[in-house]
Amino acid sequence: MGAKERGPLTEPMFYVLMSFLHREMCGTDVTEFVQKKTGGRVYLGPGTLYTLLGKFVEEQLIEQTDVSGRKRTYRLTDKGRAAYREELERLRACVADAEEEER
Amino acid sequence: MNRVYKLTPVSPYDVPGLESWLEDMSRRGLRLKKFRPLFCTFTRDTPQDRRYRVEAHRRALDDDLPRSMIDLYGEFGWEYVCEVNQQLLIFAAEGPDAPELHTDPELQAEPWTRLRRSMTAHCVFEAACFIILLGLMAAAVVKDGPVHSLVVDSGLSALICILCFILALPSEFEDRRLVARIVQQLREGVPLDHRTVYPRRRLTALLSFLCAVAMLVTLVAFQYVLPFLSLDGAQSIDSLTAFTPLSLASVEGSGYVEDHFRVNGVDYANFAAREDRAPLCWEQWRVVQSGAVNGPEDWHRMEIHWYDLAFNSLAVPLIKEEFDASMALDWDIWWTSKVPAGWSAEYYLHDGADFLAVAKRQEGSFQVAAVAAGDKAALVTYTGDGELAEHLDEIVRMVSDA
Repeated sequence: MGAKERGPLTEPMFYVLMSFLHREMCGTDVTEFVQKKTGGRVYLGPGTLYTLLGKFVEEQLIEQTDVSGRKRTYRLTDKGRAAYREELERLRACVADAEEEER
Repeated sequence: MNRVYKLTPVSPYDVPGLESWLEDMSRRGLRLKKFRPLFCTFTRDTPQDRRYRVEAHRRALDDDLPRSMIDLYGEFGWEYVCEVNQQLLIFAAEGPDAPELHTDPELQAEPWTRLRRSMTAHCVFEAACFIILLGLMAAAVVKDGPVHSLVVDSGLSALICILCFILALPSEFEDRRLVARIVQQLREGVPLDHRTVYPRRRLTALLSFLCAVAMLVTLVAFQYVLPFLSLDGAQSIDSLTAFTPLSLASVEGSGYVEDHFRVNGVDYANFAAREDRAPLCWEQWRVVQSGAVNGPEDWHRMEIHWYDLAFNSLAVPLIKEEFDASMALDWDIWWTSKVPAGWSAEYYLHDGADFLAVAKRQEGSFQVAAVAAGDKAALVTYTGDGELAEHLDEIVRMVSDA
């Protein structure tokens, strides 16, 4: 599913995809990353995270790589990386428009 | 392990009420082991503040539990407790450290929306079944008459099913309404409450359930078990002990020759067969006699339907209905001529009978006699040259001496 069909990523979605950019992660790692990155502004409860991970797996934006006990690790797919880049470009364009308007 | 059973005071779809009740139980030292809509199983534990959360997760019969969800929640300190109706999962967290499960109400609404859809489909399906069942019952009542349908056929079973639906449908719709309310609240971005006032007991649900179970047991017993207890197949009329049937030979008089059509030792020209038992008709027999008087072309036949009913009050209404129906069946009966004709019916007051009537078709040789006494009733349909009205004593004895 492309970004046009999915629409813009929400803030939690964007940060979850961002968390997988450089390494594989499990659920608790993702919430820690997002919390740290946003200074606590964005927090993901496990229920919210589960729904997001489920959506991303279904849309093949991420894939499960390992199961160790109850810990499941995921990584970004090429499709997920492209979706993240696409969203990043959209946000950059938004910021550029805003800054231009400010001047 | 010390188990404690408690009646469930809330619907599982009343999420804040259920969570509040389970948390109160935990403060009283009862840890949830198994949730059931009617009663829950707890184990004794030290009183503590334990949080419970109910999550929507509908799964098909052959689906496994959502391990990835249970594992992820476990990573955050939320332990899976049990499942409800394959639609809800209950999680518990001890202490204040485990983070709240949901931080995005709109995302949280998604599984609840799926659950609401499936509950809507289920409610529609059940309502459709209910309407179809009502239609079938109405058709049976129109075709066979209300008393016959209720007493002899499966009308009582259908009625029990309808009553079960009437008991079950409102709670199904109420549960769906509760889930729809959750969906609406979450879609508006309002997080679910986790603390609310809940009822102390839910007696109507318990009574409805017990009534439904009792009715279903009755239904299964009468519909599927009792027929197996009935003697099946035709047997010799001489071996019939329930009553003494009116004899075709006595109605026909001299010159009557009994017909025979034997298959595997059973004479299907003259036989008695016990019909299926029914809840309100413990025993019923069908007796068929046939033979000829003036050669094989002059074929005469008598069929007796005999009923032993559960209540005296059923006998007269049933046999009156059968009597009227027999006359109305004129066009459907193969041994009458297809010439339209009226019927003349005579009603008799007779010792030992609560009801006695004989009807004769104005054209042809078809006659009907109906008799009821106490909880017994019998209907005689006859094609021949004799007169049933001349054998009233024998007809009454079928029900009065039985």
